[in-house]
Amino acid sequence: MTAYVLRRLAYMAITLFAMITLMFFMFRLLPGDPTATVISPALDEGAREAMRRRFGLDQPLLTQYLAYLRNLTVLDFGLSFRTSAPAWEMIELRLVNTLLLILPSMIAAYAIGAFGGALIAWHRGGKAEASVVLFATAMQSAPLFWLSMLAILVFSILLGWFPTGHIVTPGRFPGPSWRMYLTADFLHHLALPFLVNTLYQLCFPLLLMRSTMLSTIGEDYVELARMKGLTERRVLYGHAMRNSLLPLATTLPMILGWAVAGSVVIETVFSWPGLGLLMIEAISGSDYPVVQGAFLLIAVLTILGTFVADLLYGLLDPRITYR
Amino acid sequence: MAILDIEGLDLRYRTDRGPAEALSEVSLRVERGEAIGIVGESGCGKSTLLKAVMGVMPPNAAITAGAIRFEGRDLVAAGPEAWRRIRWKGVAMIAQSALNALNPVKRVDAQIAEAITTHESRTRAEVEARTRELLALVGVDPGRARDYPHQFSGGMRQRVLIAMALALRPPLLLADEPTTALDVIVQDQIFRRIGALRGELGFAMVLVTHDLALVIENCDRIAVMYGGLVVEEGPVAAIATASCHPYTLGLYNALSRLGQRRQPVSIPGRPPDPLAPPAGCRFAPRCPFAIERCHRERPVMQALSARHAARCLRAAEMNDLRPAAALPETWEGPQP
Amino acid sequence: MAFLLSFLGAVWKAPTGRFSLVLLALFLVAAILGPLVAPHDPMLRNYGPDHKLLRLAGPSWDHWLGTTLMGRDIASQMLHGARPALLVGGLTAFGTVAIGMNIGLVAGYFGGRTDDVLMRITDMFLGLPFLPFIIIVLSLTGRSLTTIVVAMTLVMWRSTARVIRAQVLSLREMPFVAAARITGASDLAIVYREIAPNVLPLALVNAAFALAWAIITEASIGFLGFGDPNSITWGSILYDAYASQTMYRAPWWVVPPGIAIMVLVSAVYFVGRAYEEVLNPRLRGI
Repeated sequence: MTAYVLRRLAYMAITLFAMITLMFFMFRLLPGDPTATVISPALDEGAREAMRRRFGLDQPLLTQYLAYLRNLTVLDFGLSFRTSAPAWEMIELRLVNTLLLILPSMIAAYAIGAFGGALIAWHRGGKAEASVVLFATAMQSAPLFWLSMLAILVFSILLGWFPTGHIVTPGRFPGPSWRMYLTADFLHHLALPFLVNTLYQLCFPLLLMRSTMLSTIGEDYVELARMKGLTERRVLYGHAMRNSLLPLATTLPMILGWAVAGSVVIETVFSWPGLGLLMIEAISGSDYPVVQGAFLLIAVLTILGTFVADLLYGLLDPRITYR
Repeated sequence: MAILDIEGLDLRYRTDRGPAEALSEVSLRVERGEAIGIVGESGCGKSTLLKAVMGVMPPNAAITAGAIRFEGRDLVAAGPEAWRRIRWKGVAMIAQSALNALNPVKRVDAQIAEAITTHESRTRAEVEARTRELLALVGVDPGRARDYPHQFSGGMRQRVLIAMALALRPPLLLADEPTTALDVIVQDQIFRRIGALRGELGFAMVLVTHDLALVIENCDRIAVMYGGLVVEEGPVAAIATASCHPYTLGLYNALSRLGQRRQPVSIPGRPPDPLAPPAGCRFAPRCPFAIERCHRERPVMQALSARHAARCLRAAEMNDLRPAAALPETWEGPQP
Repeated sequence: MAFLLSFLGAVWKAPTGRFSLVLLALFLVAAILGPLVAPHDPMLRNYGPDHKLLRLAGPSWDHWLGTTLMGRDIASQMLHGARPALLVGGLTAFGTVAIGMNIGLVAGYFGGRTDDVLMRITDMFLGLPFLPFIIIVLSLTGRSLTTIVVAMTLVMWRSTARVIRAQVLSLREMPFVAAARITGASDLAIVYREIAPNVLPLALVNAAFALAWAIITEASIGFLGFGDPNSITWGSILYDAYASQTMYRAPWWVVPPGIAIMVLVSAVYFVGRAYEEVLNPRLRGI
């Protein structure tokens, strides 16, 4: 078991290192060189040189790479091109905002999806099942940003139940502050993006759980559990659903990726000041240190999620041998 | 009173292509302590019958007529909750495939324990002691109680299933091909164990198998099923020496017997389509002795002696036909 | 070709499959003929009889789905949007399955070190955040339909590779593979002549899901403003609506593109699922 965890950790480290390296070269070598956009050709030679020196762009590539690695170990992503503040400072706060929106809603989506999928499979063959499947498929097929736009149109503009965006009423907290998260105003702003994201993200686990359950219900051990005289509830929760959770667990890393992708669009529509929105803003402003930092953090979250999902799967399925 | 009395049971499946008759007019009595074997080809309805007795039919199956009486009480009429309480406590089952019948992600002791705790309120220590006792009873090291199913060999898993079936000391045990997946030596061990346990605990048993030899060795009576019908029923001795149904005789020929040089002869053709069973005798299309009447008239169970009955229009002539049925050529002839 | 026919035949058997295939055919027709039959030039600013720009005009006989803030005909934009959606989606699905299937086949069949290396690479791609990665690639390489297809394929082949590999691992042990080996078939011949046809159904199901996901992602890219600036897509229509900040006054501008995406992607899902049910009848819940 320990060996397994260690091996997984090693894989994670390798993946992370590869990602960091890939990013470095991607940003330096792809056609859109940051120096071309940031350091305008209109500047005179001296000013351009000063700029280059300031951002360390005059060094050889390898030196830059080593410096980049060294800086990463202390979470130094460099200075924002735009604000000249350390990029990490901007990212840090945004990370909290993203996690507060995405994490609870993904947990809710998975829990509701797993139970809902199990229940509709258990009571299969009826009109209720068909309509849930149709509804979930349609929801899953709609783009999340469009659903968000419709939600704002209906619930914020027409009905006026929720604010149209932002994390708190603009102007209420002039500077970033932790007290912000403890207000009802924050929850009021969180509600609509949370609901839309949950509703959207629960479709996949729901449909997957349903189809897994349909296979599991036909298994001999479910029949045996019923023969043993277990109540239907215990057959459902203790055997059929318990075993159907396995394939669902394997999809967690993938879903995590979707959740992050989802956060980018949902944050854009709701002007939610999270990592995704920051990244989009930074890209349009060619603020590469911030883009890099935000992207790297998102990647680390994804990789960490994969790691946790792997361990979780090992715990759920005793047949996995920790070789 | 018989421990199990099935009377005129009809069971249908709803399918995409219409209703399929899986069981029709099945009647079977099992007395206390008795062992009865049900034989037939796959698809003849023998496994469906056991599932019907356990009350765990798939959702597209429905009992359309008849009664399943356990100790005199009709379970079909009693409703699902009453039926659930009888399951395992009154009738337990040794399932067909030990690998799939045990839940792969639950420890073996937990799977035995849940059978006990569902029906009896016991302390955890009592349940644990009982589980270990049961495993020892079937010859599994009780120290392995906390293992997962995949850590056992096929034979050991089958023993675990037997231990599970005996958990509540039911008066009736159903066994659905309990040893098909195992090699002959392990199969022999398992049946010896079941025999010994039957001697000790005195439960009645219904053994379902396609292997006639197993039934002859282990049972008191035989019921032969074909196409959802019981076609012959009687004491093992009567059926082994004086079967009165051509299908049973055909099954006999399919046995390879020790010390006999002749090749086993199989019955040509295929079992009837449950969606469109033949109009007359269901075996007629494959029967070498079928006469014109067989193709249009449905035979009923005819009593041949106090305990022996067969569903064949020519049952009375069978004494004369039997020698011919033993010849391989009879079964090779062109089928109509 | 025979395989494609058997696929369509299998899907056609289920009522939902049949309905979805008809829908897909309609979208395909729109993709091919859309720009030809569109009533207006989608970029043309339309003026009313009073020579004033038709800003945010509601649906009318002339403009079935109304006009945008710039007075452009939304129905015509919708018809132009079908082609890039299907083109980008189709190419991405094809690329995804082509790469994923080959990597899955090779990793699963050869096993050992080959498998280890390929799976580590797959894991690395699995760590790439989906949409952010695509956006960064697009912002660095420039925005065009080609780069969108390439960027999406880069992050989508990974899950297909894993699924196919798992299937190959069990197929590898089948008697027909051993038989082929005894007759002296080379590894390549076994992989592509014996095993590949058996994973094709699974690959096809994956292709359907990749197509669905690619269409949604393409729309998201367009909505975030990273779409091909030279083509009108459903995503870019929604982007214009959102960026104009007037969309909440003009539901006819916001609703149709989303409905089109939703219906198209649903149809793709239902076709994939109908085929899956043919492969695994238990999913029908009997």
